[in-house]
Amino acid sequence: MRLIPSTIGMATAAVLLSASASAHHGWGGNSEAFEIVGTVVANVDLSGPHATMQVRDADGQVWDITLAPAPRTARAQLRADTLAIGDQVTLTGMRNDDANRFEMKTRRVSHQGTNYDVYPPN
Amino acid sequence: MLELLSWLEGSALGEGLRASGVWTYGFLNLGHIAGISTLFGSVLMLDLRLLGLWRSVPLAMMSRPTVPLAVIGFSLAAASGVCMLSVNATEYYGNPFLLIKFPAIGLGLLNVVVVSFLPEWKERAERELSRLERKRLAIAGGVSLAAWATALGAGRMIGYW
Repeated sequence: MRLIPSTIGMATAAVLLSASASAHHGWGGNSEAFEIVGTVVANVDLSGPHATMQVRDADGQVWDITLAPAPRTARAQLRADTLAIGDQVTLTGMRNDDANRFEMKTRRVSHQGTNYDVYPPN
Repeated sequence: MLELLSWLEGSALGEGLRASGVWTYGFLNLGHIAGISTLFGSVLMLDLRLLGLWRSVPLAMMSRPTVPLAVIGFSLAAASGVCMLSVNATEYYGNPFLLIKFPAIGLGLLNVVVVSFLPEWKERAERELSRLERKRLAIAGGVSLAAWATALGAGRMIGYW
């Protein structure tokens, strides 16, 4: 049947179309090592595909912080009640390659002398 | 679109799931994958049969296990998918793969409706189908496979955007 090759072709095209995409499943779109020193504006949220939080840096820029998946983040002892809004934190990870997106995939959250390593630090 | 996503995220479902522990999303994801694999595996077998493979297996025999399994798989995938989306729906606003996936699912479901009205499908167990009827079913099988494969591919890529 000639229909089979054309069907497989259409399906393959749909998958290949997305070869350049990147986000929470990879670090492809976050390649520059980065550090943020700032204050917590939205606390650790362990509900989605990845844990998240938000931090405001010294320039007033609010950053979306992507942590590990929730169970892994919680296992690193970083939970919803670990930090308080307004606490100073230092974060290290890889910032988003898009200069207009203030998002960082974060390896380490340092808070009051404790390091929470949600991924192994580089 | 954004209004719909905001409403879903703000719904009691979204609120409840976000508050229900660190493993919730992982289990929803597991349910989604189980549903998808059941659906797509069934669809693949039936569609390839409609496209002309395994002609020694009567169509009615092939549709007997694959159709109910596809329904179960779709139901599981749809239920878990709505739950997953409700956890952080607004984050997917503007995600192009979502805009490929949902029309593809719509096309797949529309195809199901169309096929269910075709006499050659309804009478597949009772009589021998003509060459033209087999061809029409093959086209439906091709549309189905393209639609569900597109939904599968675009769905997987949502998280990579």
